[in-house]
Amino acid sequence: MVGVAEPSPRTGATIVFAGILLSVSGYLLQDAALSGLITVVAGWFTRLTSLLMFDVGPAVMGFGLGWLLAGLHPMRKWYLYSCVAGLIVSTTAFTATSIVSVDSFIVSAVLLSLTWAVGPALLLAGVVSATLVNRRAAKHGVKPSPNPHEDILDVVVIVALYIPLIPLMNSEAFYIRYLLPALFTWVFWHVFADRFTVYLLRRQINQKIRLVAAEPPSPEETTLMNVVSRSYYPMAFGIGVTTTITSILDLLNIRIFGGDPFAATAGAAIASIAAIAAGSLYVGPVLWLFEDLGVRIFDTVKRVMKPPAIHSLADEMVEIYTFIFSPIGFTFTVADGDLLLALVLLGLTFHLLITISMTSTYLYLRFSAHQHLHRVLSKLTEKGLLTPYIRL
Amino acid sequence: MYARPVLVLIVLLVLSSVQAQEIDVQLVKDVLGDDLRYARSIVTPDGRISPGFDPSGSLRGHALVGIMVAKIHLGLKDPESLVLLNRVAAAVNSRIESEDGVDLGFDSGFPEPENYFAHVFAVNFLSMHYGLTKYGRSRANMLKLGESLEKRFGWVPYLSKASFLVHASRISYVSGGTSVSDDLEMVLNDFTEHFVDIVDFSTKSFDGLTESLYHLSLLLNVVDKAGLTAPVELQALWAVHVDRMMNQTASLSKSPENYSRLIRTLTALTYAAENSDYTAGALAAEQAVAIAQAVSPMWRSGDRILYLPVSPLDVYPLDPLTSSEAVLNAVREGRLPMVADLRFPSLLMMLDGVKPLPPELKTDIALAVGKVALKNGVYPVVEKGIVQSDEFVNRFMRVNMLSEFLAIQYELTFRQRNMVAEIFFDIHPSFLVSLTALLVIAFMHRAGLLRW
Repeated sequence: MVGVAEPSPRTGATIVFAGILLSVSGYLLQDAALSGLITVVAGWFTRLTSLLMFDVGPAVMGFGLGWLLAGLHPMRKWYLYSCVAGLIVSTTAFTATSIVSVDSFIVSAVLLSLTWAVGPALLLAGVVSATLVNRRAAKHGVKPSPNPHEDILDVVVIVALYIPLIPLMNSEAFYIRYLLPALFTWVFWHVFADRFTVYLLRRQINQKIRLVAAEPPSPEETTLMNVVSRSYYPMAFGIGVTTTITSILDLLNIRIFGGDPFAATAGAAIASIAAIAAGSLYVGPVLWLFEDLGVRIFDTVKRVMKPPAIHSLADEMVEIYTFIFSPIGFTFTVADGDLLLALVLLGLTFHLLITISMTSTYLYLRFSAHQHLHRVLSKLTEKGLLTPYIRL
Repeated sequence: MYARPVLVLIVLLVLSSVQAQEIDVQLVKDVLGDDLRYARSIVTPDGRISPGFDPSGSLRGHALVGIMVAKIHLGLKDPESLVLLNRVAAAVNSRIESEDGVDLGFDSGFPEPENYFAHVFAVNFLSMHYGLTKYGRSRANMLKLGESLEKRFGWVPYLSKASFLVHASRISYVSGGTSVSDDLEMVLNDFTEHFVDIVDFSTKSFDGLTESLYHLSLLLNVVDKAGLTAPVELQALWAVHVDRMMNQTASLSKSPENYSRLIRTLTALTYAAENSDYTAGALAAEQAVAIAQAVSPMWRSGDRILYLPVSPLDVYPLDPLTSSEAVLNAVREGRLPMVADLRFPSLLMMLDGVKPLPPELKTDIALAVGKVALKNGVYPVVEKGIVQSDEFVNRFMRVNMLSEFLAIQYELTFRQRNMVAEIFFDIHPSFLVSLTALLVIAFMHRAGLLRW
């Protein structure tokens, strides 16, 4: 059990070897057929050999490689390297296919393999190892120590997200759809997050309820997992808003966005950027400030202390939207019932919004969060609304 | 505070970036819907044409209505137009099978001009229907008509069975479908076999050259899309055609009187430009844009579309009330009808997909669509008094352009969708496995089943 469940270099190397065997066997089979050693006329045979050579083989190799990497230092979160490597490999190879005009079959086949087989398998290996390592660690009551590069990996991930956009550099679409919304969202948060937090906290205070500074403020660091997990909410919220806007317009039979479904999706996502920036203020920065302020809400009658929280409805809506409503909504509104097209469009929207969301989350955590924490605390203290813990 | 002005600036930038759409796609769809209602009003429940529309009951009139419905379906892709299309196709098919309004083989004394037009329009309609629906009966009758034409006129590119199959594949691709590779293999053999006939036909006249180049370009295009490779000699023949066409256009006078030749040249070059993977295709695209820039000032003045003289064969046969003899007379007399030619913007739309057009040509497209997409009434594409079935011919011409417009809008989407489908299901199924596993883990994690 232990040997299998834990990522280790040995199992990793074995899986890589198995992948190489699969690829080579595909090559040998094809070679045998070409040289007349065996005669197979069926069309599935060529498909089988190319699948072995360029899909299953490389995917197994990729998984093994990720497993090996994660297994080198499982308790120092080396699985993060596998995840990030998977992302980089996929996006870079994807971009290379569209930039480099490839004439040779083998080069384009390898690029496609890297994009769709090796990259995703590396990522999967990283995620599976992360799950296993953390579960085992939790069972023994220990926490994996931080990865030595955790504070750089978030930037690497953001860069990886922007790599597929390189061919777009010369078109205004890149600036309008990706850079501007990210900046807009961040600036909006930067201007309003602290004020809104102060307003929400002040509103809770009455004769019975007091705000208590229970702990010193603990600003979140910009590490990979922090940025990824924190950008989930703005992204999910964005998908929800975009779907809702397109659905409503579709119901009213209004089509203001572009002609083809791709343009329409991008148009709807852009139009909802303002809504995303405003709405995600609540499920994003406000929530993070609540978590990091160290302030507690104290009920003087019941003598209960609890951390401030956003309304649970907002929390749950985000989940329902991402997992259930948006795929259905997209299928029927933009793609005219074409499931595959809907998935492609959803993927496109997902990339658009995760890029925007991660960029603005990173910018916020890096440049605004500290300042906001201090500003909220000093404003509350200034107005005499914050009771120090010792005086309670 | 510097943040507030920055915010205001960004808001303004975002707002200005949500551009107003130049062409209202929904309006175009509504207008095609209106044309569909019109077409339905002249088709009887058994798929024939009401005597009020065409008292002679010619197969030409029948096929013309069919082509119009097929084009509408190509643009709208809705089930309503498909029902009407299939109804008309069934009636046309049974008429051909019983030789009603057409004489297969040209051997029973049926007036030849009428028989010729019946053949040409019916075969066009059936190739569209076959391309859109892959219906075997339409294919069989299309080939029967092609056989009859080949027997009477010999093998010429535009009347060959092979060219009708190519046309069907083209329609199929434009509508987001696939071609039948058996068909295309047969076509390639046929074209290769008649190599000398093509050369003969092209060297005979300028029209022959444009016609051959058009068909060769279309052939290369569908063959490429099907993932097949055309034989080297056909590729070379095509490149030679492009080269000759370029030479000939250099001496072509760019005046309105010469418009009918210019538009034929532009057509051939635009279809050649679609094969942009070949060097000759890129050259053709450049030349096509240059011709379009020369044509544009004579095609419109300000926001008015001007009437230009076109070939009588481009207009008179489209009117069921003009008899085939009258059409021939017009050709003999060299009568050139004046038309606000919508083929020009249609070609520009195609060209735009190959090579981004300069702004003034894009304006031409927007102007044309804006002018003819009228919810009430029909834009007079053909000058008044030239044809008797004014409304039909005007609608027919606008349907041609508007359906092309919608089809081009969706073609890119379909192409990308099919490419993605190929990658996910045929080339890299392991991606779907990885993706599913990742999503399951993400879902279990959010649902709290994997908490640590």
